Amino acid sequence: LRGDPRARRHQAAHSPAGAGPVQKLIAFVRSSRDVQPLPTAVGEPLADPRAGAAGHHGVVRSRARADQGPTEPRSSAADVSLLTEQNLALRQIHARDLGTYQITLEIARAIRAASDTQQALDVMCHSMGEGLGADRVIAKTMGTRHAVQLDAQWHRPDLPALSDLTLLPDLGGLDEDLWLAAGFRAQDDVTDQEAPQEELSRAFYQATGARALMMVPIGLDDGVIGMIYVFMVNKPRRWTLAEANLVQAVSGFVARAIVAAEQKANQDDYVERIEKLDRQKSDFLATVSHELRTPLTSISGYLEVLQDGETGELTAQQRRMIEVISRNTDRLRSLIEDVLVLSRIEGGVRKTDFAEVSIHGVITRVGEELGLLAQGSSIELEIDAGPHTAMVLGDRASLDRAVVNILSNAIKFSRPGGAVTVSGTMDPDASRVLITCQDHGVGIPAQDQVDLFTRFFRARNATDNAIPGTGLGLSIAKQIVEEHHGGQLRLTSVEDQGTTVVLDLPLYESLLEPSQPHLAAGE
Amino acid sequence: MAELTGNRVVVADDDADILDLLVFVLNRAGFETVGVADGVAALAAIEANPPRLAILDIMMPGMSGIEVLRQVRASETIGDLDVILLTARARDSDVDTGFATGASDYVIKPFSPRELVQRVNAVLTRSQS
Repeated sequence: LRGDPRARRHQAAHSPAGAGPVQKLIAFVRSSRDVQPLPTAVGEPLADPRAGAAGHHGVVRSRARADQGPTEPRSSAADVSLLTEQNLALRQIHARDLGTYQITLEIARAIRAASDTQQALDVMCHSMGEGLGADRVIAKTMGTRHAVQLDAQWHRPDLPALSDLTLLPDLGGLDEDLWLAAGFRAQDDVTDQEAPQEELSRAFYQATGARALMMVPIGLDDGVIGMIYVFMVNKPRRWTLAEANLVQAVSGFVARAIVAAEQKANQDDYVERIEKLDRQKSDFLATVSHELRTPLTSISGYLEVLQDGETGELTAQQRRMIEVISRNTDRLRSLIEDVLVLSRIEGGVRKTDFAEVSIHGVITRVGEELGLLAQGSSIELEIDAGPHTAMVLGDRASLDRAVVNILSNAIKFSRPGGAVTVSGTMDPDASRVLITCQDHGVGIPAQDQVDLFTRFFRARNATDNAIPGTGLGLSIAKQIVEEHHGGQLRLTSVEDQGTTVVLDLPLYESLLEPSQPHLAAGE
Repeated sequence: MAELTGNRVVVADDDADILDLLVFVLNRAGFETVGVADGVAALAAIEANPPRLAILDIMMPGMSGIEVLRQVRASETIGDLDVILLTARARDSDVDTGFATGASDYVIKPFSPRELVQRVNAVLTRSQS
């Protein structure tokens, strides 16, 4: 052993062949790590080798003279000295790797906490630069679909920022190669004439003064989406594997942050598109409804004028013809209304637009609306709108529509002189509100009941008796009650005896809480 | 404030067939009916010779029925005019806007001529009492 540790290291590193296992190990450690020389040399024959191995530097002050004393003790002392040196080197490496690991974790945390990709990149450059003690850190990304081009840089405070990151040398496919090889590029000293030099590294040196540099790709499964550069300006640096691992790990975090940000952006974009489609659909429906109803207005209006004999008495044949036109006009109108309602409720309803709806109000409105129809068919309509406190959370127009469909069916399928009852009841214990509609009409044949909620399906006795209808009413009502309002539509029917339909809806919960002011007001 | 009396009715609809129907039905019901095809003409007819009542389609080119109603309500001379809105869009928002603007009633297309005349008479009876 010589006094100069650098000379020894050189020797150990370059003559591993024929050396003992200890020398080999030391050679390995030295070749892979930049080992700091011992702070104090082991000079005299070690008084306490264990203290030396434990790294108590103050105890081992001097090393044995290599040129004095018997050969064997000298050799032993030399081995112990080497072991001590190796032990210390390993400790330093361990401490540094642990530090690197901690920096990695801190950067990961910082990236996770960042609000967007740009901030994640800024934070990453900053914390990695300071953590590694580098001079510059640059990150460039182009997003998974090569759409978002972002860059970020950090530099030691006394260095100027790079004004234009687009002027960095072209990687010429190196990024792809590195990503596919799961690798990185580290150059300890671009100006070292003995080390093999890359053209690209020299180009970086000329462009940025980076004498030592590390390049790590940011990649996803199918390709590179960016690059991280770590530079030492105008001084060499022996990059360690742990440092390269750190940059690679961080590049993984950045890739994940970019993917997460893009997914979020895609999601926002998707929601926006859906909302736009929803608006377009509403506009379309409004236009279609206007365009279909306008011609019907003239047709049905003049029909009524003709039927009323306002333009002269009709012959029996003319009257029959006008009745056919009139019946089919009504059919067309019902079909238009039902299809419009169906397409309006098809896209679902926005629960955010839901409000408290009084079942008393629904039954009263629908009763008034269908009063004339019942009267015209000589049906007695008995209405018990129920308690005013029976509220549900929902869409008023849809609920009205559901009850209109059920009640108009009850009227249509009753025989003249029959009675139809519709009533509202509340079951606060079960938190339910029930609307029950009962008729004593023709009923539904048992074999037809399974298909009742199929669109455009009409029961056999409905078509046989030419009772008008589209076959959409029940399916619309069911969809409104069950899909939109979380309720249940139940139907029981016996042919020739009548049908009972129950709309079973959840009571608006907040009304049960005594703290609600409008309950206290006795609404 | 103008005397809103007599039996003159201004009717506005941009669909010629519906306009004809309205004029025919109201004339038969004993009203003196003036039919116009758009909102601007409706407002002009109302201002030139204030009628007893106006029936306005909501969706008309140039000036909507709602806008005509708004200008009528803002007027010092004809602010009290009874106005029935006609709409082919049974959306709550249209009806709400109509009532918020001060419509006396609204009728959804397709309408029954008989029912329309009933509504007109109901509005006139209400405003007389």
